[in-house]
Amino acid sequence: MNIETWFLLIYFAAMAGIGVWTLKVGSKGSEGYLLGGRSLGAAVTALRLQSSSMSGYMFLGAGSLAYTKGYFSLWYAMGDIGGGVLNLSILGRRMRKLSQILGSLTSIEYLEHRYPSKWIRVIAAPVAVFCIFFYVMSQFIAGGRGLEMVTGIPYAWALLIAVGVIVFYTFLGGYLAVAYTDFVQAIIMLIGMLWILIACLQAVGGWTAGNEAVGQINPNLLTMWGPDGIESVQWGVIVGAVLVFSIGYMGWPHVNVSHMAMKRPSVARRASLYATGFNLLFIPAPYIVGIMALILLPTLDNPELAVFAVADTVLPDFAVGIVMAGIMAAIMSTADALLLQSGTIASQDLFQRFVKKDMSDQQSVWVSRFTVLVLAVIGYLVAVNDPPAVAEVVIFSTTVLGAAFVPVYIAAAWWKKANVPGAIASMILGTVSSVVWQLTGLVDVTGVDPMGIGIVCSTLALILVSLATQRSHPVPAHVLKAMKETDKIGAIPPSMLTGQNDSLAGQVPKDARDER
Amino acid sequence: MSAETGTGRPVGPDLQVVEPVRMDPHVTAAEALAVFQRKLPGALAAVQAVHHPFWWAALDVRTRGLFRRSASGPGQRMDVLVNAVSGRGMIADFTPRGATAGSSEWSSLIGGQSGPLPTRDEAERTARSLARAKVVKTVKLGMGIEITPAGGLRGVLKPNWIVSGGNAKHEATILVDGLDGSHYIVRVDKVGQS
Repeated sequence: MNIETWFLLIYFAAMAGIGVWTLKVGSKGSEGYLLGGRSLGAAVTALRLQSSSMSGYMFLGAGSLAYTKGYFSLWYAMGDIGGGVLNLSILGRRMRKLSQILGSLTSIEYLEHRYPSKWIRVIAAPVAVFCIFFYVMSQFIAGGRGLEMVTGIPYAWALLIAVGVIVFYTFLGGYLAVAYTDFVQAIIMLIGMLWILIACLQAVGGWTAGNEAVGQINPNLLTMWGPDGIESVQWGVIVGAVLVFSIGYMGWPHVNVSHMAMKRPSVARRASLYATGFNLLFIPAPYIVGIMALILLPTLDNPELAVFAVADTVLPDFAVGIVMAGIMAAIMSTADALLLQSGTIASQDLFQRFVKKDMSDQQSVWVSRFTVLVLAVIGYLVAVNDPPAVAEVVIFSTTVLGAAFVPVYIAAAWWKKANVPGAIASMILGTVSSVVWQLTGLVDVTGVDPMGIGIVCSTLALILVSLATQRSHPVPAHVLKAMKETDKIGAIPPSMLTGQNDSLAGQVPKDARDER
Repeated sequence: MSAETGTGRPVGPDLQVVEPVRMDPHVTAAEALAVFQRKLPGALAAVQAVHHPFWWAALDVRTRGLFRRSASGPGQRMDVLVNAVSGRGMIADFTPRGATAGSSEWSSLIGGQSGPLPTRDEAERTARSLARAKVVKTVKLGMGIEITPAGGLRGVLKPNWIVSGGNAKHEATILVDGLDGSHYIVRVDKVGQS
């Protein structure tokens, strides 16, 4: 067994250890399993948010974009860098406070409480589960491929191991396990990526020398306009590239759930500082490495492997093992957050809401776990038999999630006139427009990215329909009151909390219990 | 107003306390009723004051550097309440204050419980480990922690409200925390259902 494999084994064991440790704290009730008991501090919140949204894309997609398009790829990086801080600043504090006042445990349930209608959940939950399933499958494939490359074991087995480890610790501890493993993984990702960057720049003789060499291949690669120069620029695609990872981010239910798990609403401010620091250090690195790969590996067959291949070329064997652990960390942290989110949506948003209303906390936890297992098995079977292209699946599902949910999440926290018909119209139009735009090939005809068109459609729908239906569907008084409270900084008055306090269970007098 | 429950099962000397503190509720009966009516709109209900026994441990917590033998500085006082029935602890963000109650009231509440109760030692251990866990979360890795009890364990009777009633559709009983107004649903039945 090579040294890289040893590092991966140690890494897997450590992550599983965190899962076992959090089993005790994390699954005592559904608030614990689903939200870690709203106990996360700023550093964990921020790095968890970043590592779960970066995914294998940063190691596969970012390197590939940079390798093929040069500094044009930095449009995506710009969105990436600003995404975390935008999300935390715009949604963080308000979503944390409002979700607690409304007693919401999941990000879909939060939408339904803010826009009180069962149709919100009927529409949002399937869209979210559908997109998340595809996204998680792409992470499985990336994990399997990564493991196959490092260890040399066949893809089917590599995939099985990757899926097994991800499911194992998601299964054990719920959100707390995922949050803490994501935190650790964010740090490993950062160290791994910076290590590759430094070694890569040393190998090309420094950044300036590297840029000069890239300029000799094609001077356009050094500009922000792509390899064919400014004449061929599609401005709609550039706008979409910035939007996907900046504001698109705010529509991802699996990312937004971390706002709800913060210890206090005020954690958001410090978390956004951590997120910015992490982004500034981490995000440019894979793009720069991808560009420098043009010099180090000019004849690379598969650009998606640019970062892997550079690491293999410029780092010593033991370092490749650590860096591979970082790459697996990125993939796994996204996959586990997504899996947990799917389980949550299935148990809370679909099963408990529509099938068994009096489900106990323990049953809810088991429905989540069962869903995670079923999705993992289906994901494995699809990924092992006929794996689709990772990047396409990721971009498609991200685009649909962003287009469907960004306006409703932002308006939920900020706009008191956003009502049920507006939210329904926004989610439907956002989903349909982005899917149709993508599937009918309108992107190539118009040069406008589906994310851009989806966001515009869903935003307009939300504003116009909400304003038109203010009289027939006014926003309920308790929601308005909760939003007014959310405007204020400070603790929530206990009288406004609608969710029950489970810790009071141990204070029920015996005769009151006996009446049951 | 206060309707204490308990059958007066004799309790061992270990679980008896002298002069427990009976805290006054911060949440009024009308506020507790409002909490109930928010869950069951239009409900009519009766509100009953109850108290729940807690062990109260006042602990002085001080931190010291990795290479120092003893802690320096005044440290911090931490008030930990341990449920005298379930044994679960919580760190109080207040110092329990109130009138002195009779030890028979405490014994009656404790004696009314079925099942094993946490001993004084267990309650003390819970309080210390909770305080330690709280501090460990906030101090640097490797920092030493010194916890010393400021006096022995005391008994505290924490106020709660039991609200029972119903509207045309449901009947329910909820427990409303007498200090912060949060609630726990003890039972809820549809009208006409046993």
